[in-house]
Amino acid sequence: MLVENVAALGPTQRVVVPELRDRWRELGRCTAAADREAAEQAIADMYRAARLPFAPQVVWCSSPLSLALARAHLLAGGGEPWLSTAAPEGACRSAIAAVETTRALVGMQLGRPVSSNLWDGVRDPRRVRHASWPQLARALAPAVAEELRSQIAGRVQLAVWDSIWSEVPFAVWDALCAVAEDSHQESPAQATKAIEGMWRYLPRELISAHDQFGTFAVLEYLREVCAGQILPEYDAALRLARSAGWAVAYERVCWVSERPEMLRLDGQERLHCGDGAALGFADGWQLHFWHGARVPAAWIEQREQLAPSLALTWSNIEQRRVLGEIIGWERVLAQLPTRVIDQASDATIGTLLECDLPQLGRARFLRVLCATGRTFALSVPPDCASARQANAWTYGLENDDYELEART
Amino acid sequence: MKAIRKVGAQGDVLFRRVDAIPSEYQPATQPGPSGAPPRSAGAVQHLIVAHSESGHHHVIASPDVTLYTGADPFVCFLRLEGADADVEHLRPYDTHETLRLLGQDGGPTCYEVRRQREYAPERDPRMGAFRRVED
Repeated sequence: MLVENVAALGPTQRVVVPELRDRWRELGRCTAAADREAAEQAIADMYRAARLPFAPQVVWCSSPLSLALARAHLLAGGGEPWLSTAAPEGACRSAIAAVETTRALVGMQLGRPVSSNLWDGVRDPRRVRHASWPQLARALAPAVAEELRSQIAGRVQLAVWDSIWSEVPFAVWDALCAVAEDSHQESPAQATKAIEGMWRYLPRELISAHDQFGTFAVLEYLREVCAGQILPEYDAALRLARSAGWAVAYERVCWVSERPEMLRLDGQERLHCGDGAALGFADGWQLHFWHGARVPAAWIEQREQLAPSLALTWSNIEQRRVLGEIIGWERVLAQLPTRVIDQASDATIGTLLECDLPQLGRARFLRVLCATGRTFALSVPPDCASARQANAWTYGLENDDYELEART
Repeated sequence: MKAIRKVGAQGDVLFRRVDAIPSEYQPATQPGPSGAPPRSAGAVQHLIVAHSESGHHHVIASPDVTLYTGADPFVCFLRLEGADADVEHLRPYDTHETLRLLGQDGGPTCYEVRRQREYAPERDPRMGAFRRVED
């Protein structure tokens, strides 16, 4: 990239920052169908810029889940017990069998057929080769960072990053990274073993291009405002981000996902819907969120049937907090026999409660206000006598050692 | 941003300044204390101080910080060579404010890092009747 070193942003240059931010924010919320022609051209250009000898076969998938499952299944071909029906003559037959098995598994998991184009795209397993992503990665992501560091004075870099990077709403994609890892837990029992087997092969190395929205926004800023000329691979990556969902690049195959068909956010641009799925894809994959935290569908769809005790006993504390919010802390405490053992004047030290839980008996909980303004309930030992002591215990400290200078 | 010289917490992670790092703790090569791969947010490679199951790690971007790990999964240590180190929370929503660990003049500074836990009576008491707070 050719950009003059800039000491500070001028007024005209500052005006563009919010415009650019809004442009990428809209893109992050986009639920339109991919522009496949534009995306495939961008992918071909990225491969050419990375000096790869072949234009890849582009495989379109309806969702990141379909993408991950099908790809993982292919990569696992041959060596897994659940592929025992694979023909012995080689990887091609194994991969075909894997595709068919995956199709059935995905169908079971999603409850409806996955779009046929995915399967049409992966039926030629001879074109699938593993592990050339590092070549693309080396060509793109670190280079972007290096260009930014070397070409721009520190102050301007910080100003741009602070204004754009931190505010581009890639919460959607960040959340998807997390949920892609545990969505198999909701699969039907008969499919669980097989899906766990292939989960080891899921792509952890790349979820592009939306993971790089902040970088793209900065690049676009440099091109438009600082009159910089960006290299062809950056331009291609920008075009891919604008035209499609996630992509996972391999030497001869590039897997690309459609965007979600439905996306709902709260006022802070966190994934959220109080009466249904917050994210939905064309293949039927739906995800439920409560103000950014992913939750099981039943918590939203059948919230009236949730047992209040779950808000004190659910294993994941973030989801436990969400349960408290969905059910309502007042309802939780009203429906369980609860006694206040100790209440600190400081809400971040909290209240020590004792209650009788159905089937679990007497237990003590620390109800505490987090520095982010959210309320949590933590299980603590029955011999904790004060809220401060309970706080100290949660960090493995004695009461006298718990003197915080700051909590964030 | 808030700064501490002795004791402070960022969400479910507590930092406490100590005089020295116990000998049974050794420098860890990334990946982080739980074996999670380092995560890159944008251009910067982060040292993962506390791994989160949901990817919302607590990280330090400074190259002048070394992580020491041992057998206790609830405790690790940091050695700061510079004047300070900023602990960031990688979550796009409900983000914990950055916490600055201040160093001492004229030498490295050590901090103990303690993960928050909660009571879990269903676990084998010989293993400790508690579990790590998962977020």
